[in-house]
Amino acid sequence: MWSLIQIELYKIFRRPRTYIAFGAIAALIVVIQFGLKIDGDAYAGFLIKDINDTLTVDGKVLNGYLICYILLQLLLVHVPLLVALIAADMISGEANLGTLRLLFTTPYSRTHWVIAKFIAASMYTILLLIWLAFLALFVSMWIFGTDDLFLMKSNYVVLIEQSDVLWRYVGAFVFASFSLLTVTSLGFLMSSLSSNSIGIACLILFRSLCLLLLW
Amino acid sequence: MFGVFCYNLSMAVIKVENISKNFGTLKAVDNLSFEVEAGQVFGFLGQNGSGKSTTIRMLLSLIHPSSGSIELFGKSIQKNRASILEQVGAIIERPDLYPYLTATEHLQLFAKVRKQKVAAINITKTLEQVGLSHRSQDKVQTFSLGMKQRLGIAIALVHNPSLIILDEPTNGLDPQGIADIRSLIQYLAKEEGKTVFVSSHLLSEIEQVAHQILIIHQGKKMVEGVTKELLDPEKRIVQIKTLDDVKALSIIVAGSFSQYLLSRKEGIFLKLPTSAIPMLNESLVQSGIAVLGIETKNSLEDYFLQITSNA
Repeated sequence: MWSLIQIELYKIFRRPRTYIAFGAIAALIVVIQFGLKIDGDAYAGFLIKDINDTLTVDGKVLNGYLICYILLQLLLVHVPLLVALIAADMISGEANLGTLRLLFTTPYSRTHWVIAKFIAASMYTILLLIWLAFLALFVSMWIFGTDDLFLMKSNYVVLIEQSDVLWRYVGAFVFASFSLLTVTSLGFLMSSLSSNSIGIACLILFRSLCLLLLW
Repeated sequence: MFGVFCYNLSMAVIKVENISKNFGTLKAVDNLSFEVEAGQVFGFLGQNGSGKSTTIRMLLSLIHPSSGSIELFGKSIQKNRASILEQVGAIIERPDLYPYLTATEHLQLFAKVRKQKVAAINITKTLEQVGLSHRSQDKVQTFSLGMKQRLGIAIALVHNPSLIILDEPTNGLDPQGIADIRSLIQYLAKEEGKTVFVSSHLLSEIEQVAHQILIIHQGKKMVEGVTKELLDPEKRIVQIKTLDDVKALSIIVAGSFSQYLLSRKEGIFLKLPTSAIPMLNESLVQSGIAVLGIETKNSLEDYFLQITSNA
């Protein structure tokens, strides 16, 4: 089974589409980080302008933890779409190419191949999430430094101490991995039912938007 | 996971018994039986839609027969699929490949699927066999249909299988490519002792390489036999071309040559001993028929047309 997973991972990482996903995430994050680096203080000032009269905010509001929070809010839709694009192509893409039949003439059964493809797609999802975490959290921490996490909500303020933030982010990324694996599973399931991978990805995007609106 | 098994060389590599395949009300294959012995090149002929590819899919366990049984290497394909397919290399209908991988990467990938560590030199050798060594590092998206076909054959060969199943292997190939694949099939059977099951619409190609042929029509077996015997050199199929075919035909029907007359929609065709050809010509000339030509057509193509038109 491991050799089949290796083969599927090899095929995933030989496709230009895969790197487009990694590149798209990097481009979005870098653009936002660059913008905040240039004009971040004005943004931070805008965030706390309503409470400046009643509270004295000390320290670095615009730190790596807040940048990561902003990035994750902004990429809430993009990441599931990029995951869905690969997951939705795992079976339908090969069925369209005709290579699925070539795989089925090997000694391995359909079940073996489907399981290997699902595991490979899940591994891709986790790798994409690690890439996201690296850029959004660790690179932001490196560029903007760290301090307490100060979040403005509509009618209250959340303040989390610096020493208490990192483990929460780790927890958030673990939770995100389950969420994205659900998207992968959904894309994979629909990939076995339809031959149109772009259509599936759009459907998953629509589902993400609906859930976002409901939430 | 996969057990190694041996089989007696004298037994049939492929044994198909009374298989049928129904798709709804359509009977794609109807009670088909045949055997292929080790080391043979077996030609599988039929018109488009005759059930060739369906049969090949059943041989590879891609679909299951509605009834009947298939044994490869003396074992049921349905019960021993994994161990049997280790020994089989196949291409089906058209070469389906990954456009973003190179020729070498394809062979490495499919060698890995078979859990075989194929040395780089063997990959080079396989690509040389199919005439693709000069494009080994090029991505498949830059390949012509003929080159994809060659790579498909290379994939079928890379793990050194005992049985090679080729469905229309000369599709998209130029005349030189067709000749190369013909030589390769002959080499594989003669020099490497492999069994080759090949279907093609290019009947002249099958005629030149196959030891045994089977012709199917509308899913049913029409004829099966040794190619040399079916194309009996002692009896020739000839086409008579005259200025007045109607009169010529009436003379043939009325005379002793009527027994050799073949049923064809267009033209006058006879299957007769070589020695009788001059007598036929003489008989027609003496009857006042202007004979434009007597064309010998003792090819598999003529035999195939004869069989299928009679059906």
